[in-house]
Amino acid sequence: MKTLHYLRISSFSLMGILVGVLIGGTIVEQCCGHEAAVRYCYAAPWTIALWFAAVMCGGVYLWYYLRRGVFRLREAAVAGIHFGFAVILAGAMCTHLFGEEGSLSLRVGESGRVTTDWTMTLTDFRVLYYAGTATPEDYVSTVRMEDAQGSVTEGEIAMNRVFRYRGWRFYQSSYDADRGGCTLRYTHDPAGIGITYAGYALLLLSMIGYLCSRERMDNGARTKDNGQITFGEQKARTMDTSFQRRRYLVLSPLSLFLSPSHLVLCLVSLFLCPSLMAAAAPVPVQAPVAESFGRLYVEYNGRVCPMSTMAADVCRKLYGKPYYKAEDGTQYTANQVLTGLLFDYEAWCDVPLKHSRKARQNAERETIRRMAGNGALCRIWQDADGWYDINDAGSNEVLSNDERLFQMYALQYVASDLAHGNNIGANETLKKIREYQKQHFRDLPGERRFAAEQVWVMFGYTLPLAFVCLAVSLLLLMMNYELGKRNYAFVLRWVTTAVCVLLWAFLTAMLVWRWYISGHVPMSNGHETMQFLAWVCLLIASTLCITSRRPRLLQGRGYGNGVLETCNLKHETPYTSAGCLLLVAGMALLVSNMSASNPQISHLMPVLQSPLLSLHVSVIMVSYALFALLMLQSVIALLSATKHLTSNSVSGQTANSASGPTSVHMRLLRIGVCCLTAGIFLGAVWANMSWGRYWGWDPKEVWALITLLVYAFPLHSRMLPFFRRPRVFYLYCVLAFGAVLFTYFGVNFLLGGMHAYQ
Amino acid sequence: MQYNFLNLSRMGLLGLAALCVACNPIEKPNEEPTNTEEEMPDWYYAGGKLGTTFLVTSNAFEQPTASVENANMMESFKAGEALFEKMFMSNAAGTRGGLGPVYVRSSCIHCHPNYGHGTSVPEGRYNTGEIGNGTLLVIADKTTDAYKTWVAGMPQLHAVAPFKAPIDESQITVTWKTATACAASGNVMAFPDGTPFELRYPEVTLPAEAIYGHEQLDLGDYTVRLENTIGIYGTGLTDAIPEDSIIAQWAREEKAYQAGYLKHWNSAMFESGVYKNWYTNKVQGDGTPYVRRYTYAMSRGPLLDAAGANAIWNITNVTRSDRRYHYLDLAGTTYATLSSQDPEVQAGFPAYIEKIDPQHEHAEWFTDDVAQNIYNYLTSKDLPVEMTDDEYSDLMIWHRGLAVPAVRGVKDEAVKRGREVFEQIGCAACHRPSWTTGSDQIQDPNKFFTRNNDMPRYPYQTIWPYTDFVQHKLCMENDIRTGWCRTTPLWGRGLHRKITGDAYEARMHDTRARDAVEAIMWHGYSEESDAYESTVKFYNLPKADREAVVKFVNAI
Repeated sequence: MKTLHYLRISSFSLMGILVGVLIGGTIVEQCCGHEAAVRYCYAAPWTIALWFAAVMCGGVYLWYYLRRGVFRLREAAVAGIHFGFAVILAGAMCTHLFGEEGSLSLRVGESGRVTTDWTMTLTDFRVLYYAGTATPEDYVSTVRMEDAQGSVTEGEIAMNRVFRYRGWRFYQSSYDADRGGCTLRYTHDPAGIGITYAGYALLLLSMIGYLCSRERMDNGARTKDNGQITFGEQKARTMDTSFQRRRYLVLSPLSLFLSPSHLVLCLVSLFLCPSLMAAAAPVPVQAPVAESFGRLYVEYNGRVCPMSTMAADVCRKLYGKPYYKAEDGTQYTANQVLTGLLFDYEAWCDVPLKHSRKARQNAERETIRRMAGNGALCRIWQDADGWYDINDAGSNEVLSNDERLFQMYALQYVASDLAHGNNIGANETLKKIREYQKQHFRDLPGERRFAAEQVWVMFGYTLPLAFVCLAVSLLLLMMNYELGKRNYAFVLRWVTTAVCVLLWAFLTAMLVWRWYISGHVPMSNGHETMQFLAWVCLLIASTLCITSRRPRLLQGRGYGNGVLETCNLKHETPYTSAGCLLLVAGMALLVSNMSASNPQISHLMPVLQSPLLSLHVSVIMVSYALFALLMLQSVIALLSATKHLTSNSVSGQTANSASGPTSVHMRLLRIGVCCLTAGIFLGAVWANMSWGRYWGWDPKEVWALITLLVYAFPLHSRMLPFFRRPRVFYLYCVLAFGAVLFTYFGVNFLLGGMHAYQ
Repeated sequence: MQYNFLNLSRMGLLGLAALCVACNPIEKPNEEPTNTEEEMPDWYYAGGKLGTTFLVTSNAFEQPTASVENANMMESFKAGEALFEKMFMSNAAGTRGGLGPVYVRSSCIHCHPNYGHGTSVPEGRYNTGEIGNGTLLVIADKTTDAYKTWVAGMPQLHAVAPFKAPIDESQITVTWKTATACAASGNVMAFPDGTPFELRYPEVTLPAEAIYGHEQLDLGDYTVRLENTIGIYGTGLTDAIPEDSIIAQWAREEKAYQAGYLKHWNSAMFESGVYKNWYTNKVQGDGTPYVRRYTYAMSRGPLLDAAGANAIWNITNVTRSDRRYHYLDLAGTTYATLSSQDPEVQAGFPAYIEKIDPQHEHAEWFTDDVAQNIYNYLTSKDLPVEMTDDEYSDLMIWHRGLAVPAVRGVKDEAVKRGREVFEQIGCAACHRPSWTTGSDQIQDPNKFFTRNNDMPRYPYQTIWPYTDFVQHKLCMENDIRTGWCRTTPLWGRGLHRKITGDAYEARMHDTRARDAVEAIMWHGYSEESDAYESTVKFYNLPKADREAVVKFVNAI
């Protein structure tokens, strides 16, 4: 037993030291550069020794620990998770030992080699810029590979486009100032990737098992009295805390900031603040004329749709919403924005675009604004080869002279009429253009589908829904204990059910609508996948709300609880799970709208449109949201029950004492950690696909890992008894959130900027 | 049952709430538009009533004027457009054949993206293969500023095998240097309100090794500058300005020079009230004198024998009936001699010439002395005609038929204010806003076009090019060769970025100015500049006025 004790102490201490090493690594990187950080910290022999020791201690300890109890799904899952991590570390070791990595600097026309197997010749190197900016969009190297037998393969390497050649992967690293050469990074690591991926798979499966399995109420050492709580006790306990908090809220001036509704408001306003900028108002094109313009057929994103669809996308991309509201209150429809850009470009250039911190996104916005203004987006003409934009009108030699002239002059007349205030004339010409399109062009969507899509443009905007979801979910999760009060619960139940059902119905209608308009299952891109995820979450949440009859039920017999039980989401009330689901749905909607405000107008960054990335981002966002919630609840618990906690610790009560970490807290923590783990490894898979490496010791990556480890400690409260002390647990949850904040903001502000090229 | 009813009512009420949240502003489609017809000011019609185009998209510089349609020349216009936009090939016969033996670019569009000014030259490798790089190398003597005669005035960087390019462009580099001083701002690189500005200028490095035949040639001390193209649009309109209007402008400005408003005067052009440097063409034409109006160096007179008429021949080396010879080095025989002595050219020449002249009509290209054959071919004055007269005619109709985009923002208060200040601080003295065209009788020093109805015409139009067609000096760092530069028309220049997608506005002769502010401040780089005083006034303007001037310059 003594050995076991030492094993336990040493494995957790080792992990603690490793967290310190990782933090140190990011600091070293900031001071001495990436290479130094990898050499002296991340991949130093002593770090590897630490990892090895930690795996060994942890493995042996886990073995002894799990052997003592009954081995069920839960235990298998826990073992699987830990073993999965060990496998991933083994894969990393393999990469470290046998993987080859380096860089190859070549001038155009020059050859180089790393092994005797092949020779690489750089045949061309180009820097592509975002049109109209000095922001590089892509770096493209063309290479020729020649192997020992003399057979030649051509390849292209660009950002996010790895070139694979016989187990070697090449990707862009940097380029010479005169653009006459570049540096390529190469890796060769067939075994490490396989092992690591096996680890990811094991980890993912185990996590699913872990979340689905039932928690063992006691660990064998605990007495039954502490482990099994009666319904009455639980109720009393809940009442007790809520009473204490309410008293505190009345007393403290801080209560203003701590009341749940205020917190929700603060969070929501945080999301909304970028869209609060507005300025000078250009003279809008009259609404009916803009509307006629919106009714033209246009080829956009590879399909024919009403101009207003494109207008809404452009508007959302440029100004964040499918309409634009000037500072003086003038509201412009998306069609007015697009006609404004096309016919009065300079005036619209004075309107500030939505601003991002990332230069790339701002450059993209400028490019799209220019494309809207210079007509490149207006692909309204068609010939046998397909659609083309208004700038090519008239150069088409296939058309009859009359048609050519019509295409050349139609919009010229509109522009001239608009400039001279002849709006009726402009409107008539626009209607004629539409008639012309209908008469002469092939494969136009029917009028009914066209009209359906126009309605879609007006209603198919789900960003407000995302905020409704988030607000309600936070409300629900914050109000966890308040359900004790009957009439309050009634309102909450009322609101939750209605919100879930209505949002679900609305999303369903939208999915069906979209299906009808696009003619394919709406699961084709990141945006649609995320909408679908939200739909699934809302479906489950609605089912829970409708089927459960008693909100305060602990061992209810409703169908919903059945569902919950399988997901192990059975909380004090189904509304807590509904809250979690709404949170996920809200995040998914938010992410889907983020990708929608990044429409594929110009196919600027194809890899960023990958559904994997959407999933990666939203899963991590869910985990951060859960950690945030945990932090808020911990703050409230700490503040409200200070006195109570003190008396508790004095009387030596621990573990399951009244205001200790409740099962809700633990569940939030568990789900959060699982989401974060899944998110990190989804990111790794995505990085491997697009950048040729699954782990690059990027500060953001390292800090995500640090966050994961930091939050993993309190999950082990059975082995680390001090986490069972409520004050320690809550304080830890509050402090640990610092790691989340640092990962999310600190890395960008303090450590970021070094890997701009990545 | 009661429970279900409750659920339904919940849904209904919340449904309304959710709809309110999700709703966007909805247009009323049945509403009818109303007219708000207003007169536009004169200066809105940059190209006059006949030469202005209203839709300002990427192809705003590519639109035909109303005169093209009025004269029923749309088909020719479109045919000319294709000649301008598409690549020329090295095959001897066929449409757009005849490229080479050496050439500057393989198409017109290379230098005139979207028919405008060339795009800003990037740092590093100088690449004329890129569409948009509109700069030419100007290789001149370091001390005398005279063109070096061992290359062409517009040096070729490409050749059709077996010939070799006179200059290997892969060895040329462009470095952008930052100016550390500016006289107009008292050498402070910021405006009085604190807004900084930066001036940069290009330096071109051309190692001797990059020059074909550098071992044999006496290269001397040479310096390399860049000269960018300017837009083609509206050149038909400026061609219609009567000669005496331009002479009157020279006379007015000579008085200004005598009164001390200008610091430099090109007396080789105009002296004591007399226009001296007439443009004549004695090779194709009869030597009739014409007033000069085109190119930075004021080297050209009427449009039909100006830069475009010349470039379609000398950039591509595509011969036509009145130019059956090659454009080579200025000395005349340097390149022919070097090539004829080059064993690699000698090896490839028989196969090359077989394609050019399969019938062996030119016996002097097929003698036993291959070096002599090469020399004879390159210096020949009766080469086969590669571009037909009809094609050339189409091209010139297109050239003279290009409209100018209408001015933007004429009702914008800032633009109106900018227009006032532009005049007040003296910009308009040289960037003369408007001209009135005359009866527009067609004049061609080549004597190729002789009749008025050969071309679209623009009689009696008020046009707004913002130039005086007079040369001035700005005395900048790495200045244009000789320092003399025709005031460049400003019309349409504000559209450069929107139309070409360039990162910068690429203003000035070598794209050095990234925006209008930099361009204006370059005018005051030296106290010796003709525009120094105006630049000082601009520098000291209140911020709002300064921005208004910039807005105006970009709007016209």
